[in-house]
Amino acid sequence: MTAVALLLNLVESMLPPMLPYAPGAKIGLGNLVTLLAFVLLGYADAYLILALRCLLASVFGGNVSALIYSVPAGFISLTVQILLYHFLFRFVSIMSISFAGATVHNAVQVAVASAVVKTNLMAMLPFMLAASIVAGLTVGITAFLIIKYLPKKVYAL
Amino acid sequence: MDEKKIDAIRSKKFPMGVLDVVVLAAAIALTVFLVCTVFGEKGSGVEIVGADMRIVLPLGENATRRISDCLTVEIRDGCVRVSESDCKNKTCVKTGKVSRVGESIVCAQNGIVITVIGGGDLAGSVGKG
Repeated sequence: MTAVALLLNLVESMLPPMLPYAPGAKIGLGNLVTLLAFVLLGYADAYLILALRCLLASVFGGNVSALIYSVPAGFISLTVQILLYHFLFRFVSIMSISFAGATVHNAVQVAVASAVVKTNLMAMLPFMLAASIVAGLTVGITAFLIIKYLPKKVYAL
Repeated sequence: MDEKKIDAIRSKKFPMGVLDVVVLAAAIALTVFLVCTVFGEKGSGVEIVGADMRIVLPLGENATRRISDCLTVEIRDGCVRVSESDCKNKTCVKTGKVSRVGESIVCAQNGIVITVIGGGDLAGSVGKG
């Protein structure tokens, strides 16, 4: 799963920015793997896959400084998604969990970027929210279809 | 792994429920409102802020400036863009042209923020370019 996440990360890095006014906003294809991991494999596996993905993606991409953004955004986003899934599963769907994850991920990235460049970048948040809607829908629907149609024997080893 | 939850997801016909539609509609409405609020009029200048400098350039005059010896800012036809940067991921270059008040280009690796500003914000420069 880590290899798939890395591959999706690589493919996504080659795509142009999703929104011109929200640099850094992505669909978050890597988040699809994280979402599937905590549903199909368990929470610990999801955290492990996320940590490996962040580390390996920054090493292979030759940009270790990207860890400053990917690690806090990834871990906070995953924690929020797991909390929603664990405690509010009756009320929220995979799509809403995915949307919440994308929103938190983008918000944390803007906050970290603001701290790094010591400038208030909150004006970017509306564009990041727009990006989160697209990302949440894309990842949420894809995750739903995979969970629904993936044969159990593939993940229940 | 919780088999019951997986089975519950599998049993659904559609990925979206009523609550999802409500949340999505609210998010879209909020986004449209915020974007309309932030998306200002055409800017008259551009503010370039780095660790030890602040430069303000008019958007009305075509110009090309090397900033802190790490990126090149180009102003053409009332728009500003980063034409070249020595950073790794080139997010600042990929951002493309911006021209409206409040829009910005960020080169996080070099610690440089380029923001389009309105008429009342135009002022002098501080530090080195």
